Amino acid sequence: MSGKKSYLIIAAVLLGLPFLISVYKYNENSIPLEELIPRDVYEVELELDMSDIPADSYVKTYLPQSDHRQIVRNHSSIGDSVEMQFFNEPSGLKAQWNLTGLDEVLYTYQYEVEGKEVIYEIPESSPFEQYFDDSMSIFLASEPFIQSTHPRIDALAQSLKDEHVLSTLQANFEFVNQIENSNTRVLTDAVSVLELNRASCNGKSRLFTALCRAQGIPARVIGGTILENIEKRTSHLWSEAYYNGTWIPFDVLNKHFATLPANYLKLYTGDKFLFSYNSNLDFDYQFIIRRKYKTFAEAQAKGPHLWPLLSELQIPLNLLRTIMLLPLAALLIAIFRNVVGIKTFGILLPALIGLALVNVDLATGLLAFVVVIIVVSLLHPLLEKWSLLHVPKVVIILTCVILTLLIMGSFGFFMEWEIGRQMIFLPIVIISITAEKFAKVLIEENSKDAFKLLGNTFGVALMTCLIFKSKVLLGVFLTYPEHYLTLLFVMILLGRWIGLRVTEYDRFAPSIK
Amino acid sequence: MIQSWKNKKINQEILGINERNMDFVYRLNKKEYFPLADDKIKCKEVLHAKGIACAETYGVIKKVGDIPSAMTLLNHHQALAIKPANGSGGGGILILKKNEEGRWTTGGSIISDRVLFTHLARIIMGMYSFGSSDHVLVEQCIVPHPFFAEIYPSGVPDFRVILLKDQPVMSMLRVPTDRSDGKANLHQGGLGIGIDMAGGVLGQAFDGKEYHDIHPDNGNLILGKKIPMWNRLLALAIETSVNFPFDYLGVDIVIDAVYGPMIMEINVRPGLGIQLANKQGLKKAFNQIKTN
Repeated sequence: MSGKKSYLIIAAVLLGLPFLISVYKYNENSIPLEELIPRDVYEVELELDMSDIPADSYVKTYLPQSDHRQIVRNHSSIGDSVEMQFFNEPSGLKAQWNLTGLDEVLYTYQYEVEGKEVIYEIPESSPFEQYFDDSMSIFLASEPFIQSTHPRIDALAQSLKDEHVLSTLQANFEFVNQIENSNTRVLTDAVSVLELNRASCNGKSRLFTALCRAQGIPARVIGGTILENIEKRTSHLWSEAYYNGTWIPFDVLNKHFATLPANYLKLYTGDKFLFSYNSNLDFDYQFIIRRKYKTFAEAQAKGPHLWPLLSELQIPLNLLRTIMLLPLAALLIAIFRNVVGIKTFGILLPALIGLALVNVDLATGLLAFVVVIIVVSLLHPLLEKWSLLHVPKVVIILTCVILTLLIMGSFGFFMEWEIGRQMIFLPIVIISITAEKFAKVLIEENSKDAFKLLGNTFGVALMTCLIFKSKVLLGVFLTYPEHYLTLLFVMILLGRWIGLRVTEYDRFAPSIK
Repeated sequence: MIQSWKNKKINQEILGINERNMDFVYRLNKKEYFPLADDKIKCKEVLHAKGIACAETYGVIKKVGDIPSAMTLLNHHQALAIKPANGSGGGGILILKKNEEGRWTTGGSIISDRVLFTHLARIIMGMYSFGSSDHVLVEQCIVPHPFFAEIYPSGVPDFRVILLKDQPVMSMLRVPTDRSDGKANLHQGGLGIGIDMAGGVLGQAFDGKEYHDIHPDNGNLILGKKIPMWNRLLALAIETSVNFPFDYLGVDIVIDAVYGPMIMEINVRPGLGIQLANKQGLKKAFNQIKTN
């Protein structure tokens, strides 16, 4: 017996050690929970390259400022020392580098950006506002490239105009969206977009802005760049419309209606140029953008922690969270099985399904599972009837699952549903295994048991999915990895627990009446 | 459920899966010996070696290539049972009988050599043993004692006896129903009938929901029926338990019309439904054994 009792000592250590470490960490520095969430942070280097510089040369550009969507911090310069001036203009914070007396300059201006996604609500019933402050007049007026008073624009704008602002914006958005996309970097004005029926971001945002202005909705063009883990030489233009005291963003090209993703960096307001410099200057630039995960927690964390996995090793967040939270998800499954007594297909299959659903839209993922399960359930009895051997049968099922997903994907693409693209990201083998197990129980046991098992499996899978999706939990284990020992403690207790499972009370109730 | 939760009796008397696994299946039985119970062929080797009554083994087929010659050899018999050595829940079991023309039939209809071959091949390929390859056990076909026809005319009812340290603790009779498709397992729709161990008398039958005094399909009386050869049956169960290295064991026994009680198979993880059939908890029964 003493051999088996040794688990008590180990369990005590597993409970006590992480507790002591956490007490130490907490005393050193208590970090609020919301600060533990890993957030995308982009390190942006704006590299300016100038050679054969004539006298009195200058370069001007806009630098990002913090607002409710983005935090910009840690500005610094690297490379050749150049005289720099700042100007606060209505269109944004402008920086000017004076190159007088220099022959060749390689200069990098660096900053760090943390953005967040903001979604704006425009009520269904949204009457047009009649009176605006004088300062709004410039956002209603025609501009050289945003010709809101041009007859063609005006006629189109009036035909798209509806009773409410929301439906009008939707009509404008739809109209501009169906115009063919191009990759041109040439400046396209609003009227040209209509004539060519082709435009890139700059033309589409101007046309959208012009339509709004013609309808009496203040609107403006916004210049910035999309932050992604690359080096690039492109900037991006989108629009903002003014409603009920708020500037609401619209990126028609990338289909963001009244919302912007976290990785949009705003640089300036209005139909301006990102760079201006004297025309005889040989000038080139590029954005070198690196995605990092940083939080307040990493800088504050005391004692052993795992943040460098994200920030230094740069393991993708989606991968890291599935690895780091798998023990917790597995423990949840163990509790469901041994304490609650809920039976599922396989032991870890719910966790695998949970993983499968993490990186796709939940509704799409579930729909795919449902369709595949129906297909396999129809297929399975046929394969049984033909008395096919097990392995070839499994291969046939796998192939049919892939065909089903491909057909669904193509159909979704044809119908222009987002679902089309997502199908490919579903782990096909896991779907096949689930469908095959269901079909097998359907035949060998009965449909009631099969659906019950399927429901249980998905119920538990959704719960593990919630665990995998939780960035707070990931942050907790990154900051306090000692609590993996706490998990082990709970697992050992669970392994020694011999009480009746909750469902057994129900099962054996008739025997004690 | 909440009601039964509050009931202390259920916690004190009923054995749950967690406790069964930790304190009985894995504490009292050594894992290295499990194949003696899980593999029907290994089990029968021990039974034959110790001279314990069980169905005669006609043959074992281990490779697909051996199927044709085995089928020729088996033709000498008039009836036989084909089983996957590592199957569970009765999956893959095929009962064959010769008709007047000397052709194999199953369930009354003729089975072609090709279909029979495919079935044997599927067993070997692991269709009924979770995908790992398996062997086929071919044995004597049991003819149930007329006693069983008095309850239900078709299928093969069997007794399950649970033994703790070679002492019979609890037993039940499993009988097929119309919806259980000839199978007698509780979770497949069969009846579990409690047994008064001292007298070998049948108690009420549990169908998964309620208790019956009669067979719900045909009205035949169950409650109070005396089991034939009960003492021989119990002695066989004890003899089996003594000869296998298990201290917690479920023994499945049939009564053949000619040969009397015979071991069908043994189980190191016997199910807990027997408590429902007997309206008694195993924990309570174990305690009674200890105090005796």
